[in-house]
Amino acid sequence: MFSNHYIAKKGGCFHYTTFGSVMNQRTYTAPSKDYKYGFNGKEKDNEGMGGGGSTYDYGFRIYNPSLGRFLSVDPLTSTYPHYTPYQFSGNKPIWAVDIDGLEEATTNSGTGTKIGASSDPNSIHVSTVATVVLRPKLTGWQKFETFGSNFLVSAIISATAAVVVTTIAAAAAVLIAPVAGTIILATAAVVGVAMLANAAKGAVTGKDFVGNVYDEEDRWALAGGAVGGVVGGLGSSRFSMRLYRGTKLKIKQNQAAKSAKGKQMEEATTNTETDNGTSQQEGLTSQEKRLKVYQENSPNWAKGSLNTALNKFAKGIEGVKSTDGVKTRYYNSETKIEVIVDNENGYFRIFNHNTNQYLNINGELPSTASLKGKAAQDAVQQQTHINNTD
Amino acid sequence: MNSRLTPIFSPKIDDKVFDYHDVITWGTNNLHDENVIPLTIDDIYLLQRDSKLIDIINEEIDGYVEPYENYVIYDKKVKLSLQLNLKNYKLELLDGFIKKTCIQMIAVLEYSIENDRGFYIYF
Repeated sequence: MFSNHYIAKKGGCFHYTTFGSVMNQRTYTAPSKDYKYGFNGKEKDNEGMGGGGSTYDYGFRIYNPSLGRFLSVDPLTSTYPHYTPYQFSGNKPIWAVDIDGLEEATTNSGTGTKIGASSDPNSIHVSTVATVVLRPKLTGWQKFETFGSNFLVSAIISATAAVVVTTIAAAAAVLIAPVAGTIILATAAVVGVAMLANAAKGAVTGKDFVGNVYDEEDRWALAGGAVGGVVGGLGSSRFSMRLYRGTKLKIKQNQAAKSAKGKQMEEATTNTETDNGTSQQEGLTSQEKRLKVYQENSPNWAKGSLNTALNKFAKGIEGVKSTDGVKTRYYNSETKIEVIVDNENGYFRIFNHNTNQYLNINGELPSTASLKGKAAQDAVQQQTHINNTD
Repeated sequence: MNSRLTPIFSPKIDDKVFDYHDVITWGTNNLHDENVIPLTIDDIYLLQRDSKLIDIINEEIDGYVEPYENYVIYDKKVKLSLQLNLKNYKLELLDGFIKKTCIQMIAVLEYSIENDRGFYIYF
């Protein structure tokens, strides 16, 4: 018969105080008494030296746990002038151990430090003061409850930063110069996208493109930053574009007004009469006022091909220019549909003489979407004024 | 070439209830109504060239009225200001087509203000 198990032979069981004294009433010693190792796995000298009780041979010095002191001066005492020459493990026996009687050895790994030579069958593991923060495993909503504030705070900061940067870039585009402004806008966009991609990678994989490693807490903050950046960037880029267009339009209008004013002053100086078709409202001629109204409204107008419209509604019909030369009309007497082209600003309209209504680019009555009053008028004007894309 | 009539009017139907297109249709279908001033395109060119009527309107609005461009005035303040300017301008005019049109416009504006309806210039 072969044995399929082993019976452990207990050499003893000892509880030690912090500095290594055996605790009374909490100790069991095997009858054989041939187990000679003790505190920190060091060999005991039961006869004791200097002060009574067991002592331990740490190699370079003899240690007395009853005193909590080595019995001779530390060979490295000149290296540690702040310690007493007889100290044991730097006087930090919970955090550190003394390996060989020379100096303390600390550990923060939290996994314990193996004391003694690895070949020593009696080596032991000593628990140290660990810095591990224990967290329960979280799932779903619990994760957001725990890390949600990181996410939200980071998202708000990131969105705000995106808004500020985009707005400044757009303002620079208007104020500095179109070319420099466009470069600034493009640079801001590239940098923003790169930062977002880096944050997104860090949030998803825990490691970003430049090699930074993030724990779960930081990954939530990164995710918040990425989301906030996208939201803020998209929102403010739309706002900035409107600001950009609006300011650009104002600059054009100011230039037009200056030009008109100059022209008016010139006319006053030369004392020439104004043409009948010229209005001097707000210092603008009729043509300049038409241009101003066109610039203000045309960004919202429909777009379409004049050639396509003429082929569809007035094919082969010769246009007739108005007396002031501003409009050219193409009237189809068969269908009673008329295409009216503005020669100054390049847009056109389509009019149905059967219903006495202006039509949209498809030749249909424009939708008012149940709007009334000025809102309805604006909707119809936007659909029946068509910017020529040819 | 066609010679359509392009009205200036204030509708007798409620333009806060009826659709915009229905209101325009009312104006073009009731050219002989007291609230409608029917004009040809040539009339409008004449008013633009030989009078200040179109200029006075354009000074009051944020759009631009001319042949083949339409506009509706809903704002009461704008209507009152326009009416005052037209009344002042009327004093400068001799009897004739321009003065007649000016007086008609003042009357239509009066109706528009009293009944809170739009003042439609549908060229």
